[in-house]
Amino acid sequence: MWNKQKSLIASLVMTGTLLVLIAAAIFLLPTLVRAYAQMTGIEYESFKWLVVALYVSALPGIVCCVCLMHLLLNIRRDEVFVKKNATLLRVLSWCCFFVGAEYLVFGARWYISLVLLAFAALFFGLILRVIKNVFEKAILLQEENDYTV
Amino acid sequence: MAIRVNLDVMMAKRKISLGDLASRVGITPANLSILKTEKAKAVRFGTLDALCRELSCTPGDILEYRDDGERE
Repeated sequence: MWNKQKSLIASLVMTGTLLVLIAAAIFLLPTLVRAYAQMTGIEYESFKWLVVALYVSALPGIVCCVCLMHLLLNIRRDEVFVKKNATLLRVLSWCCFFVGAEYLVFGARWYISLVLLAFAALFFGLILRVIKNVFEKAILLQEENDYTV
Repeated sequence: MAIRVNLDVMMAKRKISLGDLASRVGITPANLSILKTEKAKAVRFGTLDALCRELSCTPGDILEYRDDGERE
């Protein structure tokens, strides 16, 4: 029977899997891009800035995964509306903004399709920022509740 | 906040400990301590009712308004 506990564990497993995939991609990226270049017949040199863009976004990607793991582990410990979770959401939003800005630069200069990803990342960063604001209000309500005798 | 909590005074008068009063009132000693040390942000009427019953006093004996110019 599916329940909240299993849902939380599923989220943890998915986040862990994503972290492993990002780590694997860091090592395998040049190989994968080379294979793709061979498959499509496009020169590998055309993709070199894409490889750079992906490598630059790998670090915020890892930071995001680590933040999500911490967030999920805090939720598992019934620590939901606490200041550290609001901080984690803030870090997540800034990672998205960084990647969005980075993809805008690379997209405008070399790969126009990255501009779409950039807007998606910026929009997601904005959504996370609003969720962080909601969490901050909820923290105040939680504190009020905790100090109601 | 200008509301003063004189719970320790009433507890001393009735010679009752924090743990004992907490169990009679139906809240945890930690929660009662929050009230006693004036860290509470709100008190439920049910809790106030139980405190007055166990300490044989009125709310005015436990809670006092004393405006000494301090503001949060």
